Amino acid sequence: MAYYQEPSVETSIIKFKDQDFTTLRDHCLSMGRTFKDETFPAADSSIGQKLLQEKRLSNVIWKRPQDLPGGPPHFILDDISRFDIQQGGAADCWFLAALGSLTQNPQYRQKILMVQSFSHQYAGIFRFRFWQCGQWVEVVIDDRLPVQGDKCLFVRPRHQNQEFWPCLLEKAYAKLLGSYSDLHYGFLEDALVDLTGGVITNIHLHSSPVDLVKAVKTATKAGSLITCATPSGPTDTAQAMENGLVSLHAYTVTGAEQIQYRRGWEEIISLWNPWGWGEAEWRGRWSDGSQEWEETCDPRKSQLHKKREDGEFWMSCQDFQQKFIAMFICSEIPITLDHGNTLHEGWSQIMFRKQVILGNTAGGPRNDAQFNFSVQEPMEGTNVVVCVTVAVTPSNLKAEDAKFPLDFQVILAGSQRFREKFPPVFFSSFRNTVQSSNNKFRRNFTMTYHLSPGNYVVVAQTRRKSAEFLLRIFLKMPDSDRHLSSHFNLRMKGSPSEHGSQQSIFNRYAQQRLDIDATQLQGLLNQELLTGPPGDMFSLDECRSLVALMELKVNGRLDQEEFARLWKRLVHYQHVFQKVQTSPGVLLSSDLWKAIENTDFLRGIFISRELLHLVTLRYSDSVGRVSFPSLVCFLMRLEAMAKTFRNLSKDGKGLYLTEMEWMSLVMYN
Amino acid sequence: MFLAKALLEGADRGLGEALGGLFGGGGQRREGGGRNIGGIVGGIVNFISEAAAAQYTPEPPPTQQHFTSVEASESEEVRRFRQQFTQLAGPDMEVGATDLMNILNKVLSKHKDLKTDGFSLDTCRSIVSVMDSDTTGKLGFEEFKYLWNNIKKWQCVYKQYDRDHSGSLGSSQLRGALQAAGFQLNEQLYQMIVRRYANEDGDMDFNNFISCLVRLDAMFRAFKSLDRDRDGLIQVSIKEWLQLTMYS
Repeated sequence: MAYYQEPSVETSIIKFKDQDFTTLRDHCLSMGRTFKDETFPAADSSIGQKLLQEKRLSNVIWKRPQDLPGGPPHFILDDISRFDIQQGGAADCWFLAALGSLTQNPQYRQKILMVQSFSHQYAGIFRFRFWQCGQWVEVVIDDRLPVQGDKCLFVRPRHQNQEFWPCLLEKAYAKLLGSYSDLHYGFLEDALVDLTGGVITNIHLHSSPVDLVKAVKTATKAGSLITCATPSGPTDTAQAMENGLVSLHAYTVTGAEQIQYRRGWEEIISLWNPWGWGEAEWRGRWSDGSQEWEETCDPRKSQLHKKREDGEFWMSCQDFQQKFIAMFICSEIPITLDHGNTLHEGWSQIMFRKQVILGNTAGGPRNDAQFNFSVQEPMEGTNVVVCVTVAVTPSNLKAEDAKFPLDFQVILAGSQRFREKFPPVFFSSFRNTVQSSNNKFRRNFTMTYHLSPGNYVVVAQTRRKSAEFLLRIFLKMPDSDRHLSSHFNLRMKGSPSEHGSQQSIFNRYAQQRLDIDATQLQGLLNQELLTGPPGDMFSLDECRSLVALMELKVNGRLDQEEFARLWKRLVHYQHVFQKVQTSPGVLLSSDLWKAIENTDFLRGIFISRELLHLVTLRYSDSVGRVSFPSLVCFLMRLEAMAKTFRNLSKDGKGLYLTEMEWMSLVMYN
Repeated sequence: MFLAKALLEGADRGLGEALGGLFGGGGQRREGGGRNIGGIVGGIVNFISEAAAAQYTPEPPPTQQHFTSVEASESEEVRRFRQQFTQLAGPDMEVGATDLMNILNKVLSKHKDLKTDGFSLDTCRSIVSVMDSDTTGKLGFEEFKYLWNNIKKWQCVYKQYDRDHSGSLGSSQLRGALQAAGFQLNEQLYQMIVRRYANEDGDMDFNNFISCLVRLDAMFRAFKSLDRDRDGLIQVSIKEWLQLTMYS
């Protein structure tokens, strides 16, 4: 059953293994006992197979934090920070990097950690929440942690700090997935989605030309989690390399800046290694002890540069794109980086929850699931994002390969391909896992599309016996203040060339007077001539200029006759704009010469190449586009200036002007 | 420029205050722009005839050593201003129209006593054009400093002549304000300016006051650079005329 859901709507919280935290805690308090979790016992089964060697496994004991040396434990000391985390014996950097990013986002911390304590109402029981297939799941644990020689086996508190929220959260996640062994290697996308319920933007650093500083700042402002990963090294395990980076490892992205360096600017990015304090850090350019920090005179130097072995370091974006393979951004709505400022984009969401499809058996009938959606209006860049999340069930733990268990495609409804057999679809992308030694598969997959208007179908199949999944389809919404998808149109009842039409428009705005001023002209133009976002409308100053250029009495107003002459030009310019534009609403400055050639009112006026260059600077935006109001102002002004010269020049070769004549000519236009 | 936008959106709170301080700073009023003979010549003079252009060849870009020595001799205020400019300008060390619009409108938002609708992008493009002496389409440090110092000066004039504290200049106050800013206009030119830059009631708000004075200053300087023999008469060809009036 599909329905539109607002992202902020809270659904009921599922109690994992039917354990109710409050009931269990109150029961223990009343009995004066600490909680022991029978569903995730202090035994080898909770560690899991193949994670530790037999000899090491036999040395494991389980202790509560209060029984460990180092003083009384705290759930949170001061506040949570990525520096509270130090990775232990499980290769769960993929989870800890996501956790490190989570510490920088207050909105998620409260939801996941809640208010818990080792003192107030302590009963040896804790709880955490994770997002699973569209619902928040609450996982209850006891606080017995696997220990070896008084040291936590997995995530451990930082030296001299007795802060245990990372250890307990890690235990809860292990319980959710099955065991600590299930934390050993994994996919960054899965951790990010499990912690937030968000949607992933995957940036392939080697292939996509992305502005990293802008991407990180945009994502951070949107409250996203950001992580990244290195490729495999010479061996199949994560290990430190000569440059200080760790292969097959996940890092948290903690910032990005443009910094002053050698009379220019350089882009740098800040990363944090979940291995934590005293562990491997980048040794190249912009690393903690590098000469680049010595040489820069950027005023923010003292606040950006922290020379300490805390696992966090800067590196240049150029090095980052070479040494790392992917960056993952997880946010509440899709973040597309291909057009403009994404923070103001709106997305609607269609959610198909608890979908179950049966696998295709040999010779049997084809089983697939189909989900319909439609794209209403043409839009630039990515406008559809499809996310699939597969449920964690015991049967999935026996996965035979690391590939995503579902195949799915997006096709046009009614397409001939609909009836054809689909070839197997393999989604190749970075995996921070090694297929031969792990039974892991990705649980989240995201595809982005740029689709034309039409009706579409998502078709999903599975190669397993069955699969339960959540499907989310995000559709970018048109700008709320744009009515006509940036097509410029006259909204007049009569044809544009009719004299009566412009006269009735004039009368409506003149309101019984014989003329209109610049403010009224502005309203008239923006209402009658075009609709669009505010940036593409006529400003008051532009309208004052148009009035000055068109009227002859120097009284700041247009009478009926003057307006008629202006209107005739505006209609003509609109045709020119539509003829020369390269896509709806977009006229390139490089085509400005075409607009001049197509303008009848400029016949006989010669434009030099230097002048064309100057007006390009004057009338186009930073990406070389000319809006319709800018085109109007340019063409009107060019005609007026050319005719002024022609009219005032006695010999046709030059103007001879006194200072006041000069000032009068150049100021009133 | 994303960095400038991020800064202007409050990422660096001190920046707005620094600019606000600069904007509201007192200090001695300088001579009017029209008589600022030593001032930086605007972009339009670069488009006069070849012979005249020789007189206004821009200085070559400073060498690193020269840059350092210039920096060392700058006053503390200029050094701080340069530092702020560096943050605003971004990698190319130039301020474009969009950046200028954001800067001006951000500073304006801290001055509730100035009545204004804000600076539109087209107005800022025009300001950049008349101030742009090397035709990059953007303002370098010296261009921006000249513009900024003028705006500070004219802001003081604006406040001084807004005697009824309405936030804008009425027609009875405007003539005095223009004279105090250093512009001697005859009646015809004055009336044209009122028609072009004031609203229907004859009042002029702050953004129109500034854009008007920026243009007045630039055009007076252009005339002086064109009037090479100082006889009060200039001659411009069609090519010069179009370049002067279209890139402004």
